[in-house]
Amino acid sequence: MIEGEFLRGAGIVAVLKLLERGEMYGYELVVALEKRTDGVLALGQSTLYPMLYNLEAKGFITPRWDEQGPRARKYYRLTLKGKNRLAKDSLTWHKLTTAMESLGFTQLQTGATL
Amino acid sequence: MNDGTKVTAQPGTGKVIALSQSILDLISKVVKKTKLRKAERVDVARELTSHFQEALVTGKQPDEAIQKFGDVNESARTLRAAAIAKRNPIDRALGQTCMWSMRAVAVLVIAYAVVAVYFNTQSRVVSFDPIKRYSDSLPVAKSPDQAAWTGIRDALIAMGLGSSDPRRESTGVTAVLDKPLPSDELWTEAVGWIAANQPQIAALQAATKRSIFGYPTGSVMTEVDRKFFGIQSFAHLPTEATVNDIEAEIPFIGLVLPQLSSMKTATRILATDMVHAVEMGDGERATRDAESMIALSIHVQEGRMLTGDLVGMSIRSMTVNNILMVLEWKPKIFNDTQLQRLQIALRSVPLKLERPDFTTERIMYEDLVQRFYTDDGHGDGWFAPTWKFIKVIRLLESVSGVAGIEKKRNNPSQLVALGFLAVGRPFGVYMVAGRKESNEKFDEFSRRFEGGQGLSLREVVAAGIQNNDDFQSMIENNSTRWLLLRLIMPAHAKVALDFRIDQEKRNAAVVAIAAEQFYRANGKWPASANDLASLCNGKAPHDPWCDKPIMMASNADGFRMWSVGRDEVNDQGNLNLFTPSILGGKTGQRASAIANVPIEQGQQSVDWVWFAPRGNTDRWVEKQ
Repeated sequence: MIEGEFLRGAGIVAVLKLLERGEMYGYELVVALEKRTDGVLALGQSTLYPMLYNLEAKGFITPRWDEQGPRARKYYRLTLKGKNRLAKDSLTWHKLTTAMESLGFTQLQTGATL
Repeated sequence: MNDGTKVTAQPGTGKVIALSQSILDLISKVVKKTKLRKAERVDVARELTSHFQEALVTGKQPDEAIQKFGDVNESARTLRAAAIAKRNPIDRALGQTCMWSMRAVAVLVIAYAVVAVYFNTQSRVVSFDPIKRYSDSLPVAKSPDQAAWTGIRDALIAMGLGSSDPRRESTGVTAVLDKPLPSDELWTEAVGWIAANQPQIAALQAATKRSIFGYPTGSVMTEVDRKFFGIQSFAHLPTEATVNDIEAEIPFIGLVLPQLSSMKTATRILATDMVHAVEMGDGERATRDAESMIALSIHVQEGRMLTGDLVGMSIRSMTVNNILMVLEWKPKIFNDTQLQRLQIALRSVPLKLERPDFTTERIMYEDLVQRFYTDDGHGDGWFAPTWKFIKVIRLLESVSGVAGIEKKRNNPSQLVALGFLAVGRPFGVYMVAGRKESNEKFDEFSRRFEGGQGLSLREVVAAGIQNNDDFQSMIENNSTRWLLLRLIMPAHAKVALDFRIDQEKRNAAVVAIAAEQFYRANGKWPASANDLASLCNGKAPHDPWCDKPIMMASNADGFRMWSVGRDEVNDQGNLNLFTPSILGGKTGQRASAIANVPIEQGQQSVDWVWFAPRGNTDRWVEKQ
């Protein structure tokens, strides 16, 4: 598990990446991040929700409440602005992993595996 | 479920699940700590509720879910920051402004409280007893026989004028105090009373000749005085309850001056006796009456106080009118020596009484200052009123001229004072002039209001208007800053003119006597002011309004000598103009007898006729 600023930066890209495939609610994102990264990008829940609020404030994601099911859920989906940001961040991560691999970090996992 | 969570459906069934109390508490705590707006808190609460429900549905235990949630404080802080970031920019700016404003207000409140605590450590120091200071300035009689007051009082008591004496209500007393002339209905009644009280009136005249007045103002009243005045004499201030409540705090306010009313009574008796003496052909008695009245007026001004000054000048005005009336009516009643004695009496008023002197008012003012200001020991201090201040203001406003001059401002002082008291001292200190500054301003205006000597009446009027305008302008520009001055000083602004008029009226009577002396010596009336120079200390008498030689003329109607009056328009000494009621004063009074008829633009002009011998009293009879 990685921590601090690095995690927050990676966490944002990871959340945007997860939402690329469709809308998800908060707990669903928590579980997905933990399981699909083997706990490496498991965001503390007290970190995830503020992060979602920030992404919403920046216009990268947009929420909606679903009251139809047995439990009310707040779903988030990527906006066009979010998609552009994800594309830009993905490119950055790709360059970063390439650069790291060239330095011999061959076992490095990247967000692209998500 | 080891903490009481009620599961209403099995995990994964998609049913509603109730949250444990510990989770609800956690959510509540986080939401509360965010301090967000209500709608935002609801959104956060719903999302967290949803989060924990999903966690429990997927098989998490409440403790585990709580543990995985993370730090409550950090969560609340970041949630708050993120929620605020979601607001629109204007909203955020307003929020920030609001927050900083509240912080600034909090800082100011704390600073104000600190300053207020500091000011409250500064105390008022009552360092002197104003009544004692005033009483100590009064001359003391070495024996009761030296004091005019005791003789005057005893004469009045002998006449039946003690407060509880039934003779006080007699028709004779009523008639005499009305100061009738021989042509009046009450004259016969008055004459009867005067004739019956000749020994007492002689005693009154004798008492006025004593060197000092000796009324113990501010000291313990003697039993004889107390009985003479009666308890009713103390009930002339606004309400007895109010006075009693605050007089211990502000002793000058409780000071009563019942002797002034008695002196006015004595003057009316002497004035009526003078007319009676003239009618009886007794020039000596008439002269003694006039001398006694002047002496009374001087006694009243002992221990200078504006109230006493005004009464003294009123007595002299009555005396001058009586002398002029008799000179015009029956001048031969006085022999040459008696004419000279009248002149001496008219000139006997000490110079110091011919100008205002606010020494006593300064003591009153200083007393208020010492009770409502702190004292730093170096002549300065801060305004620090007590609740008593409200009552003092109410009383001062009811007895001073302040209410009259500030009608247009709706007389706000009580509200202002209440405001000071409500918000504490620092505000009052900021709004109201400090002790030193206020004292200096009092002295500055006192000097100006006391001035006027050596000026013509026209110049005194102009100076009085200017002084009054300056004072009122200062007050109106900042009535709160000069709170005490506003209460104490308005009545002082124009009194310099009253003193000069008093002086000039006596001078007019002296010159009228000189004209009579000229007539007796030359068998004709003077043709010009220069003719009277030898009888007036070598100087031709001047008109005090225009500072030119006094006007005089003789024709078929007779001799007359006149001043052009306040409007400075020469009406040839017309005797038949009456004071228009619009000008104030007594309706029907002949304008020619009034030294200072106020003139406003476009109104009828009048001359002040000094002397017009006609062998009757018509000019002095009010038109019914």
